[in-house]
Amino acid sequence: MGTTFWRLRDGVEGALRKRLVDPAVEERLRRVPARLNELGYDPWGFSPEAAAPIYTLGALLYRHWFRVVTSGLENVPEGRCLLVANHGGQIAWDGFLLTVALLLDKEPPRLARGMGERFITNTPFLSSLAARLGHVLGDPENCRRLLEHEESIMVFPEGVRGISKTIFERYELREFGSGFVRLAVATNTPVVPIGIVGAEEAMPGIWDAKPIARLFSLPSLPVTPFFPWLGPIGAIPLPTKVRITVGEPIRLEGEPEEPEEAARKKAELVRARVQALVRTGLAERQGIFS
Amino acid sequence: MSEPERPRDSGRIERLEAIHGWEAATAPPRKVLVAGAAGGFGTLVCRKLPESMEVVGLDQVERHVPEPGARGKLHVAPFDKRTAEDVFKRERPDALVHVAFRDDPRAPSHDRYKTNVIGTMRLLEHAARYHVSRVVVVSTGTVYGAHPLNATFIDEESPLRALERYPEIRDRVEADQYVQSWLYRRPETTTVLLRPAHIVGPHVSSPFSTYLNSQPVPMLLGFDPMVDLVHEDDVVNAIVLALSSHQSGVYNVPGPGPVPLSAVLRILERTPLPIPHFLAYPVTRILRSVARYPFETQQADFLRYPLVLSGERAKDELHYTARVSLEATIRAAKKDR
Repeated sequence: MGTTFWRLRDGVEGALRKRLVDPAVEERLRRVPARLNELGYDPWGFSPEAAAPIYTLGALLYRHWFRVVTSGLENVPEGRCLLVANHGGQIAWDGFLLTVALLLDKEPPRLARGMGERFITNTPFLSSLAARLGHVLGDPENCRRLLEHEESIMVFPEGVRGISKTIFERYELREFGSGFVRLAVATNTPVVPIGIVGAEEAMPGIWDAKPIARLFSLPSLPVTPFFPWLGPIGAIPLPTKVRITVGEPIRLEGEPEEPEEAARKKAELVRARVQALVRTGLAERQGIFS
Repeated sequence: MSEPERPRDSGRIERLEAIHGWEAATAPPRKVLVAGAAGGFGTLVCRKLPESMEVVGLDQVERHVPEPGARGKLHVAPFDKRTAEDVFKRERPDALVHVAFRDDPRAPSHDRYKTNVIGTMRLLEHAARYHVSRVVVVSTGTVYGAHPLNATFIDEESPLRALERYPEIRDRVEADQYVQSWLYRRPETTTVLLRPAHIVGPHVSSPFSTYLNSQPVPMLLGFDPMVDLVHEDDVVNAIVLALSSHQSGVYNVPGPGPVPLSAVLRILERTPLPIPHFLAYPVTRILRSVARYPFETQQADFLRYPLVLSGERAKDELHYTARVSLEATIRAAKKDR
């Protein structure tokens, strides 16, 4: 009985894959440096095969919906790095598009790992999906090991403070947490500042419904002109034009155990660089959609 | 004089040094007492220990299956009784391998406690009294618990979160912690505490292997965590390596690599039965009390959150790595009835 089930599933999956998966995307996923075991999974659960359909969709969104323009991708070094960017726009489109950018437009392709919140691990479907795509639980120990394996990690030091920004506060970076500074210093990892413009307007939040969010134990619940009023349709992001500007890597010097104040100073330095890159991106564009 | 450079991540290193660093026994043992020798895994351990070692078995029950290849004499005595102590006195082993743990969740909790906690305490007392210079205890990696906050690669310094979520296996956690404290208190004994991943193989029956052999196999809808299986032969290999270790310590014994639960079921050709997670916990509780279902209430956590052990320390210090391939390890979980 078990054999029949898996044969059936493989048949359906195979047929769907043939239609849905872009072979070019899958080929790039296979070239991502990752430590896969004989069954095709890395220790965190990333699988190029399982991730291919989602990243195919990602490539479509990247090219045709958000019409992403990237500059400075050559600044992303080989080996370990922390990709530090601004955060906004409710659903983490910025993170997703940055991952797709490094997958499609960087040579050789890189897998930028996202650091998930705890609620992702607890949510059905989202937890297994995030793992297959290469995202891991945002835990210092996880980060350390990934960096020791020369992986690249995306960090949004604004955290939930960034996600819950409303449209009126867009591109004004909130305070950076200092965790990434300690991590970079302890593991001798370059920090790559990145400014992402456009994603903060894709889901224009006008009010963060904190009390309701708390009810569902979500970190924030944005209310946009379309969401939740239009239901799932309201969750479709606006086709804003997205610009990703990658700055030159920064080497942070210091002690991993240094006082909080010193670490915050360095975080502030990185924040200023990211803010400057965001300003550059804003200056380049003519409007939100072009 | 300048201050010596502080090592990075110094807190962690200091803690490691607290446990490590004693050198008691140096030569590999000549006579090994295997506690739990009547069980399936114990029988395997007895048979696979190197020829150079004399093997003596001790258990609280007779062998359930009289195996033709069984090695060494088997003494039957409850660990907390004088007769068990007499075995130490008479046989004078220079090493103790303790695999006598009871995992069947259907057993009354006081029975499990008596075997797993009191049994461990008594065995270690006997070992101390009769100057057994080496002790190897095979605990379990499940003491870390499957937890939403688990990083991938749990190292030996991680909290034993099983206590937080599974009161049913507190006896295993308590036994593990007792051995840890013994490790500090008895520097003259070389004690190695092993925490293997889910052990699979023809000689092993554990709640997890029972789970993998149910048909259909329940999964939690929308969850597919990484699981870590280790082949019984690899665990025996780790025990052999631990028997010639130069220092006391706690070591994880991971398998050849973590894989999603679904990949295991695919190789075992099991049909998954997806159950919403919010139903799984109460259903398990009811099945457990009504039908003596062989799973702990919170076992569903292992189908929901990852538990992946770090084998770095075992690799560096015991020179252990899993030798059985990933696919062969998974296949070994299959029991044909």
